[in-house]
Amino acid sequence: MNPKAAKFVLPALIVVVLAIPLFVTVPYYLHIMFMIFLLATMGLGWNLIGGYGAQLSLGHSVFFAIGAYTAVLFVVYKRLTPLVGGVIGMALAVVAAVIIGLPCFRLRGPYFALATIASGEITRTLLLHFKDFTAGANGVPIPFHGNDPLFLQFSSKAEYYYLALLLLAVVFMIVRTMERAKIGRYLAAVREDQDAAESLGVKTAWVKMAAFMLSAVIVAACGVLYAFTVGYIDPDSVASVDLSIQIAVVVIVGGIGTLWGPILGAAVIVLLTELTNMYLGAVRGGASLVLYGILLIVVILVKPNGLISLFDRFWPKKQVAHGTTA
Amino acid sequence: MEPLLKVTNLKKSFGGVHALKDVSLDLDRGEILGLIGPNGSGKSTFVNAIAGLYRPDGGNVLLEGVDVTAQAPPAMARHGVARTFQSSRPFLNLSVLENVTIAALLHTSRTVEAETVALQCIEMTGLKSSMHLKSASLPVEKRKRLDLCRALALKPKLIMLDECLAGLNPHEMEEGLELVREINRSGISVIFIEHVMRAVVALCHRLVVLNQGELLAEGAPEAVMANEKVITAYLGEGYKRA
Amino acid sequence: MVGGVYALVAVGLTLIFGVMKIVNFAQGEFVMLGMYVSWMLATFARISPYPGLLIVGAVMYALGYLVFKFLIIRVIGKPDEAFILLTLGLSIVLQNLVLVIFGAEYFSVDTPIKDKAFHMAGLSLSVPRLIAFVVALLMVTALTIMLNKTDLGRAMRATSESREVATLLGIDPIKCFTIAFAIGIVLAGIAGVLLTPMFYVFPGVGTLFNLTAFVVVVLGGMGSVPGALLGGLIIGVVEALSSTYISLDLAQLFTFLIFLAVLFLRPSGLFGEAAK
Repeated sequence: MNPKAAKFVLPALIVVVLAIPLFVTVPYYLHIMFMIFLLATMGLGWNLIGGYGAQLSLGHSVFFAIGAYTAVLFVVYKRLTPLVGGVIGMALAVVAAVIIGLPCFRLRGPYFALATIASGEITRTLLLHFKDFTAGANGVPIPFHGNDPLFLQFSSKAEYYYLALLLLAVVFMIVRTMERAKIGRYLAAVREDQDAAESLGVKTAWVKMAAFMLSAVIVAACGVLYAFTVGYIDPDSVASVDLSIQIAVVVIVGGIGTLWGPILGAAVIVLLTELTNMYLGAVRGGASLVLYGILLIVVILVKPNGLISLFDRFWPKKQVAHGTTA
Repeated sequence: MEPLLKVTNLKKSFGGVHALKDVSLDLDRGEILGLIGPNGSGKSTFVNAIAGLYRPDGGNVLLEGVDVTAQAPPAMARHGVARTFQSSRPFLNLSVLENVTIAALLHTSRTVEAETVALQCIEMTGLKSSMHLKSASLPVEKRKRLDLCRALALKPKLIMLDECLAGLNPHEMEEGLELVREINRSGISVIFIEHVMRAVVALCHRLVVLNQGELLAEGAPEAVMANEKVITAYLGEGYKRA
Repeated sequence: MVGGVYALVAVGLTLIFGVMKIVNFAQGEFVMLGMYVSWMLATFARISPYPGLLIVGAVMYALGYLVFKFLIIRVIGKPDEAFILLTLGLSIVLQNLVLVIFGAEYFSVDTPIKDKAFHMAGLSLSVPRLIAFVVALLMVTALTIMLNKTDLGRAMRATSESREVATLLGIDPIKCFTIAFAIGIVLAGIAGVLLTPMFYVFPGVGTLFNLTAFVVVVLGGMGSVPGALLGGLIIGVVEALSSTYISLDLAQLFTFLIFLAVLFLRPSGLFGEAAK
């Protein structure tokens, strides 16, 4: 494909994506696209700390759960619109990020990963335990009473589709701006060589924390949207280690430390999972995950920079950041 | 005139090893101070202790009268102290320009402004032709210049150079010395750690000799080089007569 | 008493880490595999778990060897994230492969001694747990002896200190890594066998042990075998106490809190080498 034609790919893609709900009305397909957008957004958020910051967090479901539960519980207990409840959830997620990040950033490599897993599991256990408040393992269903935008209630999937797309677009622009701004560059410095960065005046602790906090906010926002789209949340669906791993895998498979990597990764993983389930779903549900695991292993061994590196020739300049390179 | 840097009774130990026993020295504004001594005498420890990488166990460091003892590296950079490392440490995956821009961002939040400053420093250190190359692809000599360039972009009052001439051929060394002189002429004071004696004598206004963590001698280069104690420290007792 | 088994799983983990500096995030899955092999032997070949130990051991060794040769060896020397994600991917594949092949049902293995118990000084000790504990203790002791007294053990310890020095001494680090990894997997598998009389066998059982094993290893000190043993016992006790006196679902919480406390306060654990 010559570079001239490549210029049209992106706008064409955008038009297609915007138009899909006009032609496709099967809710299931719209839901698949929704999940792609949502995972891509979460991936972009995770990428801030996992890719640009080079800290492999496997506990991001904490923020997803905080966003989801805060918004939902405010609706259930206080009839407060999730537009406000969600913002409160995002703020709480930031607090959680500080609480988790302050001690965890002192750890390196696998210790950090383990600590984040532990934080995730602690959160899930707490959500399960305080069942008088959170309904524990039973989960919280969100009563549906017809169209009510203020409460993120829509009778068709299309609105949720566009909301997720909007969220993705907003987060994408935020991350893109950050990449080139001071914080993005400082993150690159920290990732490359912490000591050298410090000698140049970079406060590495602050920089990592800032990235972590922003990633928490983004993932929390996704949690809010997810909760109201699906209409039901419980600790095992929003606070599990599997979700945390999935967010990370989406970015790693797509291209860690790149802008389009998470989007590509989300598309590949969701589509792969859905296709496998469609054709092999009868095989006790595990087949898609087997492929997912194999894909992860293959990417790590063969293309550590992610699938996006297959498209390297189309990029005018080199990628801004690199991640898990040999 | 008050010295730019006043170090008093600086001490640093690692376990049982006393790397710095009791070092005091002054650095005047605009001075190029050479710091020499045999291997293991504490030169790098000294630089690291001032730059904030190590926390001194005792003593004071005053920069322009302000107590900056035991402050972390980012704070020291903000105070105007820049340093290079013994083996150069560029951000390998980033280009020269990106490397220097990160340093320039110390004084501004706007990337465009920082890039402008970075470009000036790149001009001054003669790296313009390599500006957009990934720093991992640079040869040793250019990497050393990149280190210097980054330090310059911090707009420091003092630059501490830790063996920046190691691995260079004589021609490159001459160019390096001239660059340091130029930096000094622009008003920046320099602490210069080196083993290449010729360079030290040619460049420095004053020399300080460390041996086993203690100050052994100080003064004008020729005088210090002729000092018996210094010769003994470097070459051992047996050479005293030579 | 379950602490002994935790120790066994953890010892495998700590051995792998000690020698190759790799944290095997799939260790729990190998425990699970051990349980399944044991179940298969019991169901299809009428071989009871305890006699089947040797067979499981051999199978696990072969498996560990293969996994190492094809997967692990490629990430040695690469940054941490590589092996974390590789073993994570492996754990996902193993868990779901088992799910696909065997389904999600809970299996159980019956042995004649399953429900027997010793009664001693007012306490009731279940026989399977006792056997598990004893075997675990024996294996850890055997491993410790091997590491300290045999040439192979010395070679492995040398390699864990410094690959370059070991090579200079004529030791082949890759061979050491392979064997260390395989042994680690064997220990996991054997732990699985010992657990079959006490736990249900299902695909997700590995995850439970994975996390606990990490806690034990960090508590005891990464790379320290006696540490893993002690850590396992401590965690076993903590879990038992907290589930009895505090609350069943909070038991895991305490384990994690201890985990975090150790990570932040004393990352090298009780006996371990200094953390990176």
